Amino acid sequence: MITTELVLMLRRRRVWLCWALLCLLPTVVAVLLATTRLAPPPGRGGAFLSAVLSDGQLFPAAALALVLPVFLPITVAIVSGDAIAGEASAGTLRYLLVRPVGRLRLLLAKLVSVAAFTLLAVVLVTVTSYVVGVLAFGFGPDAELGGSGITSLSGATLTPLQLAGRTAGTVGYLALCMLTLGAVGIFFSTLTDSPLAAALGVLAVVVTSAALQPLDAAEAVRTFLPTQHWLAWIDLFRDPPLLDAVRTGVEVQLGWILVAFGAAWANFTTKDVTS
Amino acid sequence: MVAGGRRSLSRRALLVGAGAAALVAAGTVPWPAGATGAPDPAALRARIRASAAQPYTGFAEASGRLGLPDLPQLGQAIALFTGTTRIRVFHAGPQRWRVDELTAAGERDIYHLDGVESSWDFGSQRLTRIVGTTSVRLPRAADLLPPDLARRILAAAPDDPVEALPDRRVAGRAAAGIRVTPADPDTTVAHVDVWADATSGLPLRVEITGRADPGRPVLTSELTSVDLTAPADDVLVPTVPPGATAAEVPAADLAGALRVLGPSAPPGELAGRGRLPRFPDLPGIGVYGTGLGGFVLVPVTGRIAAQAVDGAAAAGGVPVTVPTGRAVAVSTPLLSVVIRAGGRRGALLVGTVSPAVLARAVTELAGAAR
Repeated sequence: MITTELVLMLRRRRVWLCWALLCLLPTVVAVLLATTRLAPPPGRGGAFLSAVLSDGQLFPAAALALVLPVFLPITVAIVSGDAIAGEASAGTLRYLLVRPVGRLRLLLAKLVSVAAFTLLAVVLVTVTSYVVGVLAFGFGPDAELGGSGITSLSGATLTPLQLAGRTAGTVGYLALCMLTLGAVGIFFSTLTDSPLAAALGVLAVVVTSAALQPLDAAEAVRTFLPTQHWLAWIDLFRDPPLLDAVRTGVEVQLGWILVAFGAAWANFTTKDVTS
Repeated sequence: MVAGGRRSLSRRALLVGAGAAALVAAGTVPWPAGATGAPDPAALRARIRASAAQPYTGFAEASGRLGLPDLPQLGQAIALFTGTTRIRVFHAGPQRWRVDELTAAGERDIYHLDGVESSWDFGSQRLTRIVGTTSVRLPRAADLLPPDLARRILAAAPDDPVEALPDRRVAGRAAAGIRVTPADPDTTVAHVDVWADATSGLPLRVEITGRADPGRPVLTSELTSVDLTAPADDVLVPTVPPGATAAEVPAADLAGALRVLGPSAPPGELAGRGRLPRFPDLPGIGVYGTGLGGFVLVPVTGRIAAQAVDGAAAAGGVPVTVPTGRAVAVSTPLLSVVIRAGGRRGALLVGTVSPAVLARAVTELAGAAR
């Protein structure tokens, strides 16, 4: 069933459109930066954006920071909101459940499919932005001196191996953060027959979380907000890497996934399916 | 069938709800502190004050809500007291340390190696070596680290009464607490709470509470993770990465800038508080009062003072009646500020005393200048 869901996902045109749009935004930014050479002033703009002009290898980090707040959540909301509600609205859910397959197994297959979508989304953005970044901005001053490293946020030079390891860590971390939204989307998808309503529900969670984040009055719940730890991956590009915030972020995201998937299971396995 | 389904839904929903509650509880309920074997409060204060040589590596978060107004050129320093600052520290000893102020867009690091300071700013890709020293500088992230903040406060108030606080768990360690309550009736500080590792005396958490709002600290700084071993040598040495700029700048010559102002010597006493023999190399600067209720007199040019008075008045400052010129008082939960303008020179008074004390001081100052 998992293989079937994965194949179905890869056959969907909207999935490929989401990935293409995700890769397009950083490409547009890279083209604009490369032609105007006008980077944001230091300390302003997206993370790493002021530094990419001098080293294109930093562009994947800048690209991830660009798509993280809005575009990535929107695509995950669309795909996860469609997981169950899409079947229901198309009238295929009851036929799907006629097969000798448990509802929990179906939910798990949907979760794996959404996880694959988020992981591939982050990987595709990283790979395309690396290619675009190197083409637009080059390998940086270290390459001119015969080296091949990039400057960490702390000033120490990272070797290509260290850079690859930290980028892989970032990809995994962001995929997990997005899987949280995916699990919430699957839960909402079990509540309604409308994929759009489920997707909007996910975006409502994101907006609410982002709105509560800066409020002093929300201090007690801040650490549990799903968006609170999204930028923790930046700490991986310090030297030595700082893992405290990433560790907390992983714990919070896993908690959300567990609860949201549990809620989806509690609702879906006892639901009267008529669509 | 339908009723059975609803029963199962209810049971499963309850199970999920209980799981969610357990996860939230695991993240919020504090772990028991455990036994600290702490000495009496006075001995712990002495141990904390002597802890500067304790090596450690850690990560701290400082959070302030002092409500200071935005001032030109001072944005970075003011942000330390009005928002949350993330700080990483590598401390091998008083003369060998590195402190990083971490931001979402990069980091600003200070390296201190055997009396030589260097700063790294990722945003400007610049490593700056600071030549010389200055007796006064703007606050920086390193000043907010619990060990530095606690030692500075306890050194300023060596005779104020101290009492024990319940132990608590900080950065995964059992920490012993003390509360210092200032004896000065005019200070804005209600009390300062410090929790420290009982064995080494290293402060792990500091809370400063103002009299204006005794129920909630105005400044909290905590090491959320700490390792009491010395950091590796290589993290303490700054490097110039390819493409970055390396520069040397002299330490700010505050004394020279003040001499240009030609300030008169600060009075020996203001508002009933004697001047301390601090910063004798800085003309016109006077530090008054002892303990946690003190203030500092800073001379400024007449133009800057006039701008500051106008700005403070527009921001809700309270006018102060002075014999000559004009003055405005601004009060925040912890700091009080009075600015006086009039003539060629003005004065800035700032401290942890009530605005009434500063108003009295500025009145005496304006009377003396007449």
